[in-house]
Amino acid sequence: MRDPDDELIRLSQQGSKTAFGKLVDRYYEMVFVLAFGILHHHEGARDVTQDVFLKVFREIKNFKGESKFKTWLYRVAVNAAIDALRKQRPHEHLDGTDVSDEDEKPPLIVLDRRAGPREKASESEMRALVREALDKLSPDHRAALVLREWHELSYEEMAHALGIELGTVMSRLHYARKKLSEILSLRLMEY
Amino acid sequence: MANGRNNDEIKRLYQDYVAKELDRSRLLQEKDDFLKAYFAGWPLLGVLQFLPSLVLIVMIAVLVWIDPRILHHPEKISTPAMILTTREVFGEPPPVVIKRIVSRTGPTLVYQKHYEKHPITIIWIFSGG
Repeated sequence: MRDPDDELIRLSQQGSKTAFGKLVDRYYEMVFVLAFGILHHHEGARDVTQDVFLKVFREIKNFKGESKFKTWLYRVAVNAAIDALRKQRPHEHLDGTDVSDEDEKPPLIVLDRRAGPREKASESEMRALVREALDKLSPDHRAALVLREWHELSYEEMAHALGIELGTVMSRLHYARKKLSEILSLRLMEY
Repeated sequence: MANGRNNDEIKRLYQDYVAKELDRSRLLQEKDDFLKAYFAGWPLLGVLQFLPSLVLIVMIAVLVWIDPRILHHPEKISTPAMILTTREVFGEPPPVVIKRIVSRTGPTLVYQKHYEKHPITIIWIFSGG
């Protein structure tokens, strides 16, 4: 299948900053959200995003087109974001097959479904809980979640982007969702 | 299936979280800044936007060159400056001519040495005096 970025890639490989700038314009937000999904803060995501594009521009001559440019970009971005998170939190155990911490109980949440001022508090409570849950995930699990739940990649695309087997993709996703569910379990029980 | 429903809920919560946490306007501004800093060529429009300013500067320069007096606002004065005293101090020729002048600016001393090729004039104004 022809890569829609072929022409811009070809010109970028010849050194055209204008052509590469169009690739940046096209994919900046995609890379940023990916980095944000792993790092959970804006400044870190911005730094990683810009580093990724500078690195890709330097190395684009080596891009052979064996995968789509977008897939390559995902992989560079995931690796860069994970490296950045590991530098921030070097003491963390980053095993991708962590089991739930049985000693940890999810907090009790009561969401008030009535319309009015309390709705806003509930929304921000929920976001805080989601963030808390995401912070407990390893970088690999965060990457799996953002690629699936935000970028809506297929499992195969995720496997290519992450450079892992399909089974590992599904296992990471399953664990990440399970972990999130545990913390938000009371919310889900309302259905 | 409960599992499928849970997954849909997780997706919804996740998307809601990211959408609300993301400062999109800041993101777009940072993208523009980044593009300008590293990947922008020299746009034609970028040059043209300076054109009106350049034209104005050239016009002012031409006008000043034609008549420097346009930079000044000549003011009519009723009392012109007056030379009170003049004296010459003899030393190495030519002598120094010192003039005491009364003017609206204040007491003024003018020192002149009339070298043939490079006459020197020093005007010393004691303003507010």
